[in-house]
Amino acid sequence: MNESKNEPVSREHINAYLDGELTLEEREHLLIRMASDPNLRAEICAQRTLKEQVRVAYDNLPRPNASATHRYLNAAWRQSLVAGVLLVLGLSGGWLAHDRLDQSPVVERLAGLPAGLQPVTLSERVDTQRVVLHLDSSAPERLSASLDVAERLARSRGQGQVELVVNSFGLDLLRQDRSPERARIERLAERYPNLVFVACGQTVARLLREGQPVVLLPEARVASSAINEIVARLRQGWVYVKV
Amino acid sequence: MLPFVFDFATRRRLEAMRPRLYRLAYAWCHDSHLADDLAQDALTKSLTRMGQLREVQALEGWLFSILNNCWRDHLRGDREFEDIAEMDELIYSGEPGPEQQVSRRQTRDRVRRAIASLPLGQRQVLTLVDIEECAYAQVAGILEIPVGTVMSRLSRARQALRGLLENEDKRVTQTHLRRVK
Repeated sequence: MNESKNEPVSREHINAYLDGELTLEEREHLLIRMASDPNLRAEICAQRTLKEQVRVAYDNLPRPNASATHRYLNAAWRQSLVAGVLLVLGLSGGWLAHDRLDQSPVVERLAGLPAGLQPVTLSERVDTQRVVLHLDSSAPERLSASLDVAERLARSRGQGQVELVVNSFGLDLLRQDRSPERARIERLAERYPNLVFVACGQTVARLLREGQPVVLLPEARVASSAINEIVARLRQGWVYVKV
Repeated sequence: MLPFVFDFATRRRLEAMRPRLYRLAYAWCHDSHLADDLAQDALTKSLTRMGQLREVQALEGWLFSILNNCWRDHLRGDREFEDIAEMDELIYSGEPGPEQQVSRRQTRDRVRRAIASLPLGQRQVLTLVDIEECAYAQVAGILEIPVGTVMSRLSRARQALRGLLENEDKRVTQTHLRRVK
Protein backbone atom coordinates (compact mmCIF):
# COMPACT_ATOMS: atom_id res chain seq x y z
CA MET A 1 0.00 0.00 0.00
CA ASN A 2 2.87 2.33 -0.71
CA GLU A 3 2.05 5.77 -2.02
CA SER A 4 4.80 8.08 -3.25
CA LYS A 5 4.84 11.64 -2.03
CA ASN A 6 3.58 13.47 -5.09
CA GLU A 7 1.17 11.06 -6.68
CA PRO A 8 -2.49 11.61 -5.93
CA VAL A 9 -3.69 9.45 -3.05
CA SER A 10 -5.65 6.50 -4.43
CA ARG A 11 -9.16 5.57 -3.34
CA GLU A 12 -7.85 2.26 -2.06
CA HIS A 13 -5.34 4.08 0.13
CA ILE A 14 -7.99 6.40 1.59
CA ASN A 15 -10.18 3.38 2.24
CA ALA A 16 -7.33 1.56 3.93
CA TYR A 17 -6.76 4.59 6.14
CA LEU A 18 -10.42 4.79 7.18
CA ASP A 19 -10.63 1.05 7.73
CA GLY A 20 -7.58 1.01 9.98
CA GLU A 21 -5.53 -1.01 7.51
CA LEU A 22 -2.51 1.29 7.17
CA THR A 23 0.70 0.82 9.10
CA LEU A 24 1.69 3.56 11.49
CA GLU A 25 4.23 4.87 8.99
CA GLU A 26 1.66 5.01 6.19
CA ARG A 27 -0.75 6.82 8.46
CA GLU A 28 1.91 9.37 9.30
CA HIS A 29 2.61 9.99 5.63
CA LEU A 30 -1.06 10.45 4.89
CA LEU A 31 -1.46 12.83 7.83
CA ILE A 32 1.41 14.92 6.41
CA ARG A 33 -0.36 15.03 3.05
CA MET A 34 -3.64 15.93 4.72
CA ALA A 35 -1.98 18.78 6.57
CA SER A 36 -1.26 20.57 3.29
CA ASP A 37 -4.11 19.35 1.12
CA PRO A 38 -7.65 20.56 1.93
CA ASN A 39 -9.10 18.57 -0.98
CA LEU A 40 -7.71 15.37 0.44
CA ARG A 41 -9.14 16.24 3.84
CA ALA A 42 -12.54 16.89 2.28
CA GLU A 43 -12.39 13.61 0.37
CA ILE A 44 -11.51 11.69 3.53
CA CYS A 45 -14.35 13.38 5.41
CA ALA A 46 -16.80 12.45 2.67
CA GLN A 47 -15.64 8.84 2.66
CA ARG A 48 -15.81 8.68 6.44
CA THR A 49 -19.38 9.97 6.36
CA LEU A 50 -20.28 7.30 3.84
CA LYS A 51 -18.72 4.61 6.02
CA GLU A 52 -20.74 5.81 8.99
CA GLN A 53 -23.93 5.85 6.96
CA VAL A 54 -23.39 2.22 5.99
CA ARG A 55 -22.51 1.31 9.54
CA VAL A 56 -25.80 2.57 10.98
CA ALA A 57 -28.03 1.65 8.02
CA TYR A 58 -28.90 -1.72 9.52
CA ASP A 59 -29.54 -0.72 13.12
CA ASN A 60 -33.07 -1.43 14.36
CA LEU A 61 -33.91 -3.84 11.60
CA PRO A 62 -37.44 -5.13 11.18
CA ARG A 63 -37.75 -8.58 12.77
CA PRO A 64 -39.67 -11.39 11.16
CA ASN A 65 -42.51 -13.05 13.08
CA ALA A 66 -41.44 -13.87 16.60
CA SER A 67 -42.71 -17.43 16.36
CA ALA A 68 -40.06 -18.27 13.81
CA THR A 69 -37.23 -17.17 16.09
CA HIS A 70 -36.36 -17.71 19.73
CA ARG A 71 -35.43 -21.26 19.03
CA TYR A 72 -32.74 -21.55 21.66
CA LEU A 73 -33.43 -19.02 24.35
CA ASN A 74 -36.27 -16.89 25.56
CA ALA A 75 -36.64 -13.15 25.00
CA ALA A 76 -35.53 -12.02 28.44
CA TRP A 77 -32.33 -13.95 28.15
CA ARG A 78 -31.75 -12.52 24.68
CA GLN A 79 -32.00 -9.01 26.13
CA SER A 80 -29.37 -9.68 28.73
CA LEU A 81 -26.93 -10.75 26.05
CA VAL A 82 -26.83 -7.37 24.34
CA ALA A 83 -24.26 -6.07 26.80
CA GLY A 84 -22.10 -9.10 26.08
CA VAL A 85 -22.22 -8.43 22.35
CA LEU A 86 -21.11 -4.85 22.87
CA LEU A 87 -18.22 -6.04 24.97
CA VAL A 88 -17.10 -8.48 22.29
CA LEU A 89 -17.31 -5.76 19.62
CA GLY A 90 -15.19 -3.33 21.57
CA LEU A 91 -12.61 -5.84 22.66
CA SER A 92 -12.16 -7.37 19.23
CA GLY A 93 -11.83 -3.90 17.68
CA GLY A 94 -9.06 -3.04 20.09
CA TRP A 95 -7.35 -6.30 19.51
CA LEU A 96 -7.31 -5.85 15.74
CA ALA A 97 -6.15 -2.25 15.92
CA HIS A 98 -3.35 -3.16 18.24
CA ASP A 99 -2.29 -5.94 15.97
CA ARG A 100 -1.86 -3.64 12.99
CA LEU A 101 0.18 -0.88 14.56
CA ASP A 102 3.92 -0.44 14.41
CA GLN A 103 6.21 1.37 16.77
CA SER A 104 6.56 5.10 16.18
CA PRO A 105 10.15 6.01 15.25
CA VAL A 106 9.99 9.53 16.72
CA VAL A 107 8.52 9.11 20.16
CA GLU A 108 9.09 5.54 21.12
CA ARG A 109 7.61 5.82 24.53
CA LEU A 110 5.35 8.43 25.94
CA ALA A 111 5.40 8.67 29.72
CA GLY A 112 2.05 7.71 31.21
CA LEU A 113 0.75 5.95 28.13
CA PRO A 114 -0.57 2.42 28.68
CA ALA A 115 1.02 -0.40 26.72
CA GLY A 116 -0.73 -1.06 23.43
CA LEU A 117 -1.31 2.59 22.50
CA GLN A 118 1.05 4.16 19.98
CA PRO A 119 2.09 7.80 19.85
CA VAL A 120 2.32 9.53 16.46
CA THR A 121 4.14 12.78 15.74
CA LEU A 122 4.54 14.97 12.66
CA SER A 123 6.54 18.01 13.63
CA GLU A 124 10.34 18.11 13.90
CA ARG A 125 10.03 19.70 17.30
CA VAL A 126 7.89 17.45 19.39
CA ASP A 127 6.55 18.54 22.75
CA THR A 128 5.71 15.41 24.70
CA GLN A 129 3.97 17.54 27.33
CA ARG A 130 1.13 18.15 24.87
CA VAL A 131 -0.97 15.23 23.76
CA VAL A 132 -4.06 15.01 21.56
CA LEU A 133 -6.11 11.84 22.10
CA HIS A 134 -8.61 10.65 19.50
CA LEU A 135 -11.67 8.48 20.11
CA ASP A 136 -14.11 7.36 17.37
CA SER A 137 -15.84 4.43 19.03
CA SER A 138 -18.87 4.38 21.30
CA ALA A 139 -18.15 1.02 22.93
CA PRO A 140 -18.65 1.72 26.66
CA GLU A 141 -15.31 0.25 27.66
CA ARG A 142 -13.54 2.34 25.03
CA LEU A 143 -15.21 5.45 26.40
CA SER A 144 -14.04 4.75 29.92
CA ALA A 145 -10.60 3.59 28.75
CA SER A 146 -10.11 6.86 26.86
CA LEU A 147 -10.90 8.78 30.05
CA ASP A 148 -8.45 6.60 31.97
CA VAL A 149 -5.70 7.53 29.51
CA ALA A 150 -6.70 11.21 29.49
CA GLU A 151 -6.67 11.37 33.26
CA ARG A 152 -3.35 9.64 33.56
CA LEU A 153 -1.72 11.95 31.02
CA ALA A 154 -3.30 15.10 32.48
CA ARG A 155 -2.13 14.16 35.97
CA SER A 156 1.45 13.56 34.85
CA ARG A 157 1.52 16.78 32.79
CA GLY A 158 0.67 19.46 35.30
CA GLN A 159 2.00 22.22 33.05
CA GLY A 160 1.31 20.47 29.77
CA GLN A 161 -1.96 20.01 27.90
CA VAL A 162 -4.13 17.07 27.03
CA GLU A 163 -6.94 17.23 24.51
CA LEU A 164 -9.45 14.43 23.96
CA VAL A 165 -10.99 14.79 20.50
CA VAL A 166 -14.05 12.69 19.69
CA ASN A 167 -15.78 12.13 16.37
CA SER A 168 -17.99 9.58 14.68
CA PHE A 169 -19.44 7.17 17.26
CA GLY A 170 -17.02 8.53 19.85
CA LEU A 171 -19.18 11.65 20.03
CA ASP A 172 -21.41 9.70 22.42
CA LEU A 173 -18.85 10.40 25.13
CA LEU A 174 -19.75 14.09 25.07
CA ARG A 175 -23.49 13.81 24.37
CA GLN A 176 -25.77 14.78 27.21
CA ASP A 177 -28.31 12.02 26.55
CA ARG A 178 -25.88 9.25 25.63
CA SER A 179 -22.73 9.60 27.68
CA PRO A 180 -22.39 7.03 30.44
CA GLU A 181 -19.49 9.13 31.79
CA ARG A 182 -21.12 12.50 32.46
CA ALA A 183 -20.26 12.65 36.14
CA ARG A 184 -16.69 11.58 35.58
CA ILE A 185 -16.13 14.15 32.83
CA GLU A 186 -17.42 16.89 35.09
CA ARG A 187 -15.08 15.75 37.85
CA LEU A 188 -12.09 15.50 35.50
CA ALA A 189 -12.71 18.94 34.01
CA GLU A 190 -12.80 20.40 37.51
CA ARG A 191 -9.71 18.65 38.74
CA TYR A 192 -7.55 19.05 35.61
CA PRO A 193 -7.76 22.48 33.96
CA ASN A 194 -5.15 21.26 31.45
CA LEU A 195 -7.55 18.61 30.12
CA VAL A 196 -9.89 19.68 27.33
CA PHE A 197 -12.74 17.78 25.65
CA VAL A 198 -13.33 18.53 21.98
CA ALA A 199 -16.24 17.39 19.78
CA CYS A 200 -16.06 17.12 15.98
CA GLY A 201 -18.25 19.84 14.43
CA GLN A 202 -18.65 17.79 11.29
CA THR A 203 -20.11 14.82 13.17
CA VAL A 204 -22.46 17.14 15.08
CA ALA A 205 -23.58 18.78 11.82
CA ARG A 206 -24.20 15.40 10.20
CA LEU A 207 -26.32 14.15 13.10
CA LEU A 208 -28.34 17.37 13.08
CA ARG A 209 -28.88 17.02 9.34
CA GLU A 210 -30.18 13.52 9.94
CA GLY A 211 -32.64 14.92 12.42
CA GLN A 212 -30.97 13.66 15.58
CA PRO A 213 -31.00 16.06 18.51
CA VAL A 214 -27.43 16.73 19.68
CA VAL A 215 -26.88 18.26 23.09
CA LEU A 216 -23.28 18.28 24.24
CA LEU A 217 -21.98 18.30 27.80
CA PRO A 218 -21.09 21.76 29.12
CA GLU A 219 -17.44 20.67 29.30
CA ALA A 220 -17.25 20.02 25.54
CA ARG A 221 -15.75 22.42 23.05
CA VAL A 222 -16.55 22.08 19.37
CA ALA A 223 -13.88 22.09 16.64
CA SER A 224 -14.67 22.59 12.94
CA SER A 225 -13.79 18.95 12.44
CA ALA A 226 -11.80 16.30 14.31
CA ILE A 227 -9.36 15.90 11.44
CA ASN A 228 -8.67 19.64 11.26
CA GLU A 229 -8.14 19.78 15.00
CA ILE A 230 -5.77 16.82 15.05
CA VAL A 231 -3.77 18.01 12.07
CA ALA A 232 -3.47 21.50 13.57
CA ARG A 233 -2.22 20.05 16.85
CA LEU A 234 0.25 17.76 15.11
CA ARG A 235 1.65 20.74 13.25
CA GLN A 236 2.14 22.51 16.55
CA GLY A 237 4.28 19.64 17.76
CA TRP A 238 1.68 17.76 19.79
CA VAL A 239 1.78 14.00 20.12
CA TYR A 240 -1.24 12.17 18.68
CA VAL A 241 -2.61 8.98 20.18
CA LYS A 242 -5.62 7.03 18.93
CA VAL A 243 -7.36 5.58 21.96
CA MET B 1 -35.91 -25.24 32.12
CA LEU B 2 -34.47 -24.97 28.68
CA PRO B 3 -33.31 -28.24 27.22
CA PHE B 4 -29.53 -27.80 26.95
CA VAL B 5 -27.87 -30.33 24.73
CA PHE B 6 -24.63 -28.44 24.26
CA ASP B 7 -22.72 -26.74 27.00
CA PHE B 8 -24.13 -23.50 28.30
CA ALA B 9 -21.16 -21.22 27.58
CA THR B 10 -20.94 -22.27 23.95
CA ARG B 11 -24.63 -21.78 23.43
CA ARG B 12 -24.51 -18.38 25.03
CA ARG B 13 -21.66 -17.22 22.84
CA LEU B 14 -23.34 -18.45 19.69
CA GLU B 15 -26.70 -17.02 20.66
CA ALA B 16 -25.05 -13.68 21.38
CA MET B 17 -23.92 -13.62 17.76
CA ARG B 18 -27.45 -14.06 16.41
CA PRO B 19 -28.33 -10.35 16.11
CA ARG B 20 -25.12 -9.70 14.21
CA LEU B 21 -25.60 -12.67 11.91
CA TYR B 22 -29.14 -11.53 11.24
CA ARG B 23 -28.02 -7.96 10.55
CA LEU B 24 -25.28 -9.08 8.18
CA ALA B 25 -27.57 -11.53 6.38
CA TYR B 26 -30.15 -8.79 6.10
CA ALA B 27 -27.59 -6.42 4.58
CA TRP B 28 -26.86 -9.08 1.98
CA CYS B 29 -30.41 -10.15 1.07
CA HIS B 30 -32.66 -7.30 2.33
CA ASP B 31 -35.36 -9.77 3.29
CA SER B 32 -36.17 -10.17 6.98
CA HIS B 33 -37.49 -13.76 6.79
CA LEU B 34 -34.64 -14.99 4.65
CA ALA B 35 -32.12 -13.21 6.88
CA ASP B 36 -33.61 -14.88 9.93
CA ASP B 37 -33.45 -18.28 8.23
CA LEU B 38 -29.85 -17.72 7.15
CA ALA B 39 -28.82 -16.68 10.65
CA GLN B 40 -30.58 -19.73 12.06
CA ASP B 41 -28.95 -22.04 9.51
CA ALA B 42 -25.54 -20.62 10.29
CA LEU B 43 -26.04 -21.10 14.04
CA THR B 44 -27.32 -24.65 13.61
CA LYS B 45 -24.40 -25.56 11.37
CA SER B 46 -21.95 -23.93 13.75
CA LEU B 47 -23.22 -26.09 16.62
CA THR B 48 -22.56 -29.26 14.69
CA ARG B 49 -19.14 -28.05 13.63
CA MET B 50 -18.00 -26.59 16.93
CA GLY B 51 -15.09 -29.02 16.99
CA GLN B 52 -13.58 -27.30 13.95
CA LEU B 53 -13.11 -24.04 15.79
CA ARG B 54 -9.60 -23.83 17.16
CA GLU B 55 -9.26 -20.31 18.51
CA VAL B 56 -11.73 -18.34 20.58
CA GLN B 57 -10.88 -15.12 18.72
CA ALA B 58 -11.69 -16.72 15.39
CA LEU B 59 -15.33 -17.26 16.34
CA GLU B 60 -16.77 -14.25 14.52
CA GLY B 61 -14.96 -14.78 11.24
CA TRP B 62 -15.75 -18.47 11.38
CA LEU B 63 -19.46 -17.80 11.86
CA PHE B 64 -19.48 -15.23 9.06
CA SER B 65 -17.91 -17.70 6.67
CA ILE B 66 -20.56 -20.29 7.63
CA LEU B 67 -23.19 -17.63 6.98
CA ASN B 68 -21.63 -16.96 3.60
CA ASN B 69 -21.85 -20.67 2.77
CA CYS B 70 -25.52 -20.77 3.78
CA TRP B 71 -26.15 -17.72 1.59
CA ARG B 72 -24.38 -19.35 -1.35
CA ASP B 73 -26.40 -22.54 -0.89
CA HIS B 74 -29.51 -20.47 -0.91
CA LEU B 75 -28.55 -18.63 -4.10
CA ARG B 76 -27.70 -21.89 -5.80
CA GLY B 77 -31.15 -23.26 -4.99
CA ASP B 78 -32.99 -20.13 -6.00
CA ARG B 79 -31.50 -18.43 -9.00
CA GLU B 80 -34.51 -16.30 -9.61
CA PHE B 81 -34.12 -14.76 -6.18
CA GLU B 82 -34.83 -11.04 -6.31
CA ASP B 83 -32.99 -9.33 -3.53
CA ILE B 84 -34.61 -5.93 -3.64
CA ALA B 85 -38.13 -7.25 -3.43
CA GLU B 86 -39.78 -6.09 -0.25
CA MET B 87 -37.80 -2.87 -0.34
CA ASP B 88 -40.86 -0.77 -1.09
CA GLU B 89 -42.70 -2.44 1.71
CA LEU B 90 -39.81 -1.76 4.01
CA ILE B 91 -39.60 1.88 3.07
CA TYR B 92 -43.26 2.70 3.38
CA SER B 93 -44.21 0.42 6.25
CA GLY B 94 -44.23 1.22 9.94
CA GLU B 95 -45.95 3.76 12.10
CA PRO B 96 -45.01 7.35 11.31
CA GLY B 97 -43.13 8.52 14.39
CA PRO B 98 -41.92 11.97 15.38
CA GLU B 99 -40.32 13.99 12.59
CA GLN B 100 -36.79 13.29 13.73
CA GLN B 101 -37.34 9.57 13.68
CA VAL B 102 -38.80 9.75 10.22
CA SER B 103 -35.83 11.71 8.95
CA ARG B 104 -33.34 9.28 10.48
CA ARG B 105 -35.25 6.35 9.07
CA GLN B 106 -35.36 7.96 5.66
CA THR B 107 -31.59 8.34 5.69
CA ARG B 108 -31.19 4.72 6.67
CA ASP B 109 -33.65 3.54 4.03
CA ARG B 110 -31.92 5.58 1.38
CA VAL B 111 -28.57 3.99 2.25
CA ARG B 112 -30.07 0.51 2.42
CA ARG B 113 -31.70 0.97 -0.96
CA ALA B 114 -28.38 2.07 -2.44
CA ILE B 115 -26.55 -0.88 -0.88
CA ALA B 116 -29.22 -3.27 -2.14
CA SER B 117 -28.53 -2.11 -5.69
CA LEU B 118 -24.80 -2.91 -5.51
CA PRO B 119 -23.50 -6.13 -7.07
CA LEU B 120 -23.56 -8.94 -4.51
CA GLY B 121 -19.77 -9.31 -4.24
CA GLN B 122 -19.34 -5.61 -3.50
CA ARG B 123 -22.24 -5.64 -1.07
CA GLN B 124 -20.72 -8.46 0.96
CA VAL B 125 -17.30 -6.85 1.21
CA LEU B 126 -18.74 -3.45 2.09
CA THR B 127 -21.00 -4.77 4.83
CA LEU B 128 -18.34 -6.98 6.39
CA VAL B 129 -15.90 -4.05 6.57
CA ASP B 130 -18.32 -1.30 7.61
CA ILE B 131 -20.93 -3.09 9.69
CA GLU B 132 -18.87 -5.87 11.20
CA GLU B 133 -15.58 -3.93 11.21
CA CYS B 134 -13.73 -6.91 9.79
CA ALA B 135 -10.09 -6.46 8.72
CA TYR B 136 -9.41 -6.90 5.00
CA ALA B 137 -7.56 -10.15 5.62
CA GLN B 138 -10.50 -11.46 7.63
CA VAL B 139 -12.94 -10.57 4.82
CA ALA B 140 -10.67 -12.33 2.34
CA GLY B 141 -10.80 -15.44 4.53
CA ILE B 142 -14.56 -15.35 5.01
CA LEU B 143 -15.42 -14.90 1.34
CA GLU B 144 -12.46 -16.94 0.08
CA ILE B 145 -11.14 -14.22 -2.22
CA PRO B 146 -7.72 -12.48 -2.39
CA VAL B 147 -7.11 -9.35 -0.29
CA GLY B 148 -6.55 -7.36 -3.49
CA THR B 149 -10.06 -8.25 -4.61
CA VAL B 150 -11.41 -7.17 -1.23
CA MET B 151 -9.77 -3.77 -1.71
CA SER B 152 -10.91 -3.25 -5.28
CA ARG B 153 -14.48 -4.37 -4.58
CA LEU B 154 -14.63 -2.13 -1.55
CA SER B 155 -13.35 0.80 -3.56
CA ARG B 156 -15.87 0.23 -6.34
CA ALA B 157 -18.68 -0.28 -3.85
CA ARG B 158 -18.01 2.98 -2.03
CA GLN B 159 -17.63 4.91 -5.26
CA ALA B 160 -20.91 3.55 -6.61
CA LEU B 161 -22.66 4.16 -3.31
CA ARG B 162 -21.56 7.78 -3.21
CA GLY B 163 -22.78 8.26 -6.76
CA LEU B 164 -26.14 6.70 -5.93
CA LEU B 165 -26.64 8.75 -2.78
CA GLU B 166 -25.54 12.01 -4.40
CA ASN B 167 -27.86 11.46 -7.37
CA GLU B 168 -30.69 10.81 -5.03
CA ASP B 169 -29.88 13.95 -3.04
CA LYS B 170 -30.14 15.95 -6.25
CA ARG B 171 -33.39 14.28 -7.18
CA VAL B 172 -34.87 14.92 -3.75
CA THR B 173 -33.80 18.58 -3.88
CA GLN B 174 -35.27 19.04 -7.35
CA THR B 175 -38.56 17.44 -6.37
CA HIS B 176 -38.66 19.61 -3.33
CA LEU B 177 -38.00 22.76 -5.36
CA ARG B 178 -40.70 21.87 -7.83
CA ARG B 179 -43.15 21.39 -5.02
CA VAL B 180 -42.28 24.71 -3.47
CA LYS B 181 -42.91 26.66 -6.69
